[in-house]
Amino acid sequence: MKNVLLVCGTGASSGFMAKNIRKAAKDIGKEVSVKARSDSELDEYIEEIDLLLVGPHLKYMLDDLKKAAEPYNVPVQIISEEAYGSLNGAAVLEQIEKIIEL
Amino acid sequence: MKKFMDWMSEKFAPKINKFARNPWISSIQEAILAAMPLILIGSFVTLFNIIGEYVSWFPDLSLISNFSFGLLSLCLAYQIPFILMEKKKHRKTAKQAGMAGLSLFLLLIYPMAGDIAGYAAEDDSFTGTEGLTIFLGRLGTEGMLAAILGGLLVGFIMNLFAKHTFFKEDTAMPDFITVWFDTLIPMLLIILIGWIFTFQMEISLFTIINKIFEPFIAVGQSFWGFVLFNFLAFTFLYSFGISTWVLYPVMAAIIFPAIGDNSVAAPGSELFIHTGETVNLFLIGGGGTTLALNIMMLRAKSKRLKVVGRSCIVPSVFNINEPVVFGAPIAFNPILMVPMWIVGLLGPAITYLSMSLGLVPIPTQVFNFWYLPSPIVGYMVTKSFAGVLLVLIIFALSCIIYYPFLKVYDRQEYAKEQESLKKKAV
Repeated sequence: MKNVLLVCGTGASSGFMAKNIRKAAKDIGKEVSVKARSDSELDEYIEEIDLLLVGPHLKYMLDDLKKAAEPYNVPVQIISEEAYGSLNGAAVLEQIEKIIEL
Repeated sequence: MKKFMDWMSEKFAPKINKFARNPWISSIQEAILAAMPLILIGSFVTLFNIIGEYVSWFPDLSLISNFSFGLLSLCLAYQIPFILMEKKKHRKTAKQAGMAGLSLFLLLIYPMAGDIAGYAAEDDSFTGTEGLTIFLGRLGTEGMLAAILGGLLVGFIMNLFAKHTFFKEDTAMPDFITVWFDTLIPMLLIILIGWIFTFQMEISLFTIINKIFEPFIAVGQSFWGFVLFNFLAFTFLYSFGISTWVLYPVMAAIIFPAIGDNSVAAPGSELFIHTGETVNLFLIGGGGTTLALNIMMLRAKSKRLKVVGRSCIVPSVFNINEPVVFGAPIAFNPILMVPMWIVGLLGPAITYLSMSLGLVPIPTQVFNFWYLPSPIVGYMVTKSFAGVLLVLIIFALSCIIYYPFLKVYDRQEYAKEQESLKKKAV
């Protein structure tokens, strides 16, 4: 099962997003582990994740996060504002599937 | 207007974001986030002590707070250099940096070596022997500035030495020896600095640091400082898509010592209004007081706003609003940015005035559960219904202010939807 990590400031808003992604995955019978954490905890999870997704309000961190993830071959992407704004789990799931196979 | 918006998103926002990415700034933020459990335990103590007010045999839990929230600065003194070393890619010596941070911090807060009224190990009794006297408050919020500055200094020195090792690349020495020596020198240097000031020259760096920052803190605690800072952090920058966490280190340096001082202040003395607990009173629904907007979106005419409103309402009730700020969107959307700014100025202004006029009690206990629904927080941090009333008044105000702007925006979105429906039908 693939592991996806969502990060935002405290892990609070991304927590709601993560829940919706898990639900969308369940609805179409796909298995994926989605966790939401604060970006400050990245180091603890970087070794075990397959994909890192970032909340749109942390766009400024993207380069730093990419640098941190590179040695572990983890792709990093920003969640689109539209998807985050409506907490659209299915849309983000689509975004995930374009990058890694579930 | 458009020129200003473009300037903000192309020139200003990236600069702010670069500032936030700076490792010296972000390690402070991450260190505080790492210490969050301690802050929350302190908040739990505040919560449970309320029971103590009604049930007489319930024990006073305040000491639990002393050893959790009350150790905040001690923890930051370790964490800031540790995290800084990791960010600067010197993970090998991060732990040593943390330890040096602890040493320096304890020296900075000006301990006094002397006799404590006596402890004997043999029979666990007190008889009179050497000890160290430390102001307990300085391990907590009082020492925050010292912890931050000390931590950054330690990080700076350790980082400097980590870049220049004493040993050649192909040295015969095993790694652990080179690490020991490469950390020995800077750690000794750091401790010497603290020792010279505190014990040789008997200069309290703690007092000096706090004296230097006094004017800055005074501004932060003033009416305009309070209103403008909170407007900047929670509304203005946020409306340009910049996370509210960006100014957190500055915020923390103001709000944590404030609540710490309030909690030990003698009754009748003047309290500090600008605390995190105070700020939560007007952040109803999150930065920009957006709960009212989210609720009104549930009855929007346009489908999109209704859907976004419905998806975001649960987080909004718990004061988490990144989804609705990016979803409505409020960010970069002038029609909704304007009411956000208005509320973003009125909210703190009304809150500050109600407290300085004595209408609402100033918070005296740490209670950092900002994600509880605001009316509950309103009671918890002020221990009175005046706090709840303040929350309700600000909420009502935000409804009135957001309503006309939302109506305009909704009409626009609805018209757009109708247009695209017509196009599809053709």
